[in-house]
Amino acid sequence: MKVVDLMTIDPLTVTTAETVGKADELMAENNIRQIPVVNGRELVGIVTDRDVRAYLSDALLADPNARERALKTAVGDIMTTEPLSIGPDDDLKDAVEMLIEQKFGAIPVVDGAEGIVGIVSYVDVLRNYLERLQEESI
Amino acid sequence: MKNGKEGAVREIMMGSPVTLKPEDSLDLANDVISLGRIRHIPVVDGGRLVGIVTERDLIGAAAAQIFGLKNKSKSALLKSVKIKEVMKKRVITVAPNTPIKEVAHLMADKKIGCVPVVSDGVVVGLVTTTDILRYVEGLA
Repeated sequence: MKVVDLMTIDPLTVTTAETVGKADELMAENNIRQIPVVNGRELVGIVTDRDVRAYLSDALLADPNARERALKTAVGDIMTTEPLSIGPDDDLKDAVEMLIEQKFGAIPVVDGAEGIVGIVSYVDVLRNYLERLQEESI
Repeated sequence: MKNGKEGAVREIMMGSPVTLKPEDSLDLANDVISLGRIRHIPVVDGGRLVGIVTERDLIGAAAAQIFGLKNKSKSALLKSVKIKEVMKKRVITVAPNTPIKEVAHLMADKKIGCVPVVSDGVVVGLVTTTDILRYVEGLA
């Protein structure tokens, strides 16, 4: 099985110039915990709900009135740059190994020519496992 | 898929996990989480599971406490908060003989990262998404 067989195609993304508040909103509304950061279709970073919470709580510790300003910070200022990614034609096993070793929740899927094409998460892997079990028991 | 249906939680769980007490302070959780590279700690009182504290709770609690506690450092802040004030009290648990596929369902549907394994009220292990992924990978 390849990564492309399981990934979510065309995931939600943000640009570096969008705000931390916007990223926070997108994650809450869509019940996701990671958003790839792009420049066009090029993957330039990743931001997680942990990054956002940690950033907001640190900002508040420095100044309790800083929430508004912190929410307006650009995503580019808090994202993880040069994130690990995987190719659509790579073995799914490699993606699962990366999820385990790195303790990632999800990995962006990048095609050399097209840029970001998907994202694969541990939830996708678990769902696939359960579907396979289901098929076996029929 | 060999053993796909028969696999039970006890085969993949981590036994004897690190636990905290309700009266411990939050800075202890912070130390355990950052030193141990873990994200969830069961809270036990007299051997019984009474809650769970996660990395997310830790960050959230720090933010929530701030408004009443100006000018405190992060470490002083964490020291002043007790685990019982921030832990989640309604914890989803499984038994050692729960099938692995049931735990996989829980984690996929509810997006829970970690489930304590409880036998007669006592925490005997912890099963995380990483444990399940390792198991699934072994079957592929």
